Amino acid sequence: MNVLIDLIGSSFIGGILLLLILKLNLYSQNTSISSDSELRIQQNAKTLAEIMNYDLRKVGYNCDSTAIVIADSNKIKFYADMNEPGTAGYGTVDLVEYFLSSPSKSSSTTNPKDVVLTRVLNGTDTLGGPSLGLVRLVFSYFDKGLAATTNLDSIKYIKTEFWVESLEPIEVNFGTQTGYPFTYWEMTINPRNI
Amino acid sequence: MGKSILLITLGISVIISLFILRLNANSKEGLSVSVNMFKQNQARLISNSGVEVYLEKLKADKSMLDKTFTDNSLFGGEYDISIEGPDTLVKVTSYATFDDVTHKTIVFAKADKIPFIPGPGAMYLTASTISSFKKTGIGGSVLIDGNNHDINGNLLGDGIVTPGIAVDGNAQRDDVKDIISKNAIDQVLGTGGTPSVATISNTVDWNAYALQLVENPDIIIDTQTKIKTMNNWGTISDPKVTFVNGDISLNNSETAEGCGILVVNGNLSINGNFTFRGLIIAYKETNIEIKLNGNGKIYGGMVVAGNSIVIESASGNFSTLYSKPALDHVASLLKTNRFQIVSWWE
Repeated sequence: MNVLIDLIGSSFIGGILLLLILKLNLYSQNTSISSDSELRIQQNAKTLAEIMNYDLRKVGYNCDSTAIVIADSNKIKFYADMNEPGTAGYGTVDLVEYFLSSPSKSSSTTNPKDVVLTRVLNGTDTLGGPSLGLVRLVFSYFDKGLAATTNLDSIKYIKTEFWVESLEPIEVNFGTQTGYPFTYWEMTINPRNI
Repeated sequence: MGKSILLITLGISVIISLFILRLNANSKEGLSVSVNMFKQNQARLISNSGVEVYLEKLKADKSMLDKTFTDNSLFGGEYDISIEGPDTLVKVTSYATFDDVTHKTIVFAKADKIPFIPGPGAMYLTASTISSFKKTGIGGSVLIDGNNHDINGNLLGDGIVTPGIAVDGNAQRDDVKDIISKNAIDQVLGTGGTPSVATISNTVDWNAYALQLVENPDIIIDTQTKIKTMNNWGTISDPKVTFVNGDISLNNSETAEGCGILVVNGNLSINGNFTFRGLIIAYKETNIEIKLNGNGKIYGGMVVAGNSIVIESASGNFSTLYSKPALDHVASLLKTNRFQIVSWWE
């Protein structure tokens, strides 16, 4: 009888420990997924920032007329010679446009809100790329006194704000809910050529 | 039982270790993303600052053209600079490194030429100056000649004749003639007979022009000690904008000469020899005092737009000779130290 009680007791304790291990394993997996997702959001946001930073600093380069053609809150179109002095294509002023596609363009992801940042060079060379979890992009424009302006000739600063979410939902609140964690990025650029 | 607990404990430890390692790796990666962005910004700032630093240096030293300057330290990073071309269109390339991140900036800039406004005669006096001129004014061996001279002060006799002293109205003209008569000034020559004092229609805001010049002069003399090392205020081949600000005295051991535009704000006492080719502007609310015991020569023109001027040629000679060639020469060669950015690529 004692042996039976020992067996039942040890099985019970062993079972609890096993469940604990499984739970711990699941928790660590979820946390890892969440951590991976947050890292990916951060990397995607940085990639987007680098792309726009590279282009927006060139606004008006080698352009003698008004450099910015369209200055909307979610779209910008500007003239700039995108090529480094001494390289092929230098000396020709390009027309660069940034806008957001509709969410349907990124239907391969689970996130219903993510969109694709599209860059169009000279009206033909369209570069869309993956969504990178971008859900919202806002451009603001300021004059030399840092007052908001819509006058294309007065624009001296371009502020870019964007929100990046995870592509897939992850569990939050200890697995009781799912959601899309996000990060916010803001940069204000003073293109030296306008 | 003991073995089982040991196995379970080891199993949990392995799981926790793997979990911590994973989180740690992600944390490190996340940190490196942020750090890399910081490095990029830092490299960009170093590169751009390098351009600004060397454009500033180039203002003072044109011999830096067509040279490369490597391994300059800034903000914990380094940058290399190469400067190419004439100063009419200079290309400055900056290549910065911060840790393992690099940034390149290519800037085209040009030397900004300031406008040159010649004086209307050998000497021009504003109304505010004349009111003080009545009391002390001018005395001694003075020659103010509105006839055209060459850049070395030789009379050309080419028919170009301007007022010896130009003023803004007939009342001022009469006042100045009265001063000249009282002080027995030797010679004030030029248009309108002797003494040559003529009314002109002045449209130039000389104070504003002087302020524009002193915003970025080539040479600033604001202490007496600077005279010892900077007593050449431009040459015929390289005219300068010089700003004398404060009480400065030139004596025999500190003889000064210059070519270009000299803006004076303060007391300038000249006891030695002084020769200047170009335009002299005395301006602002302060008083200018030129006391000459040596030989003061101005080939070009002089504009007095300040509160007062005292020109006393005690035991020396003072001459202001109108020189269109000198003014034209200065106008053609004068540059500011400022570089205007033409284009900025990064």
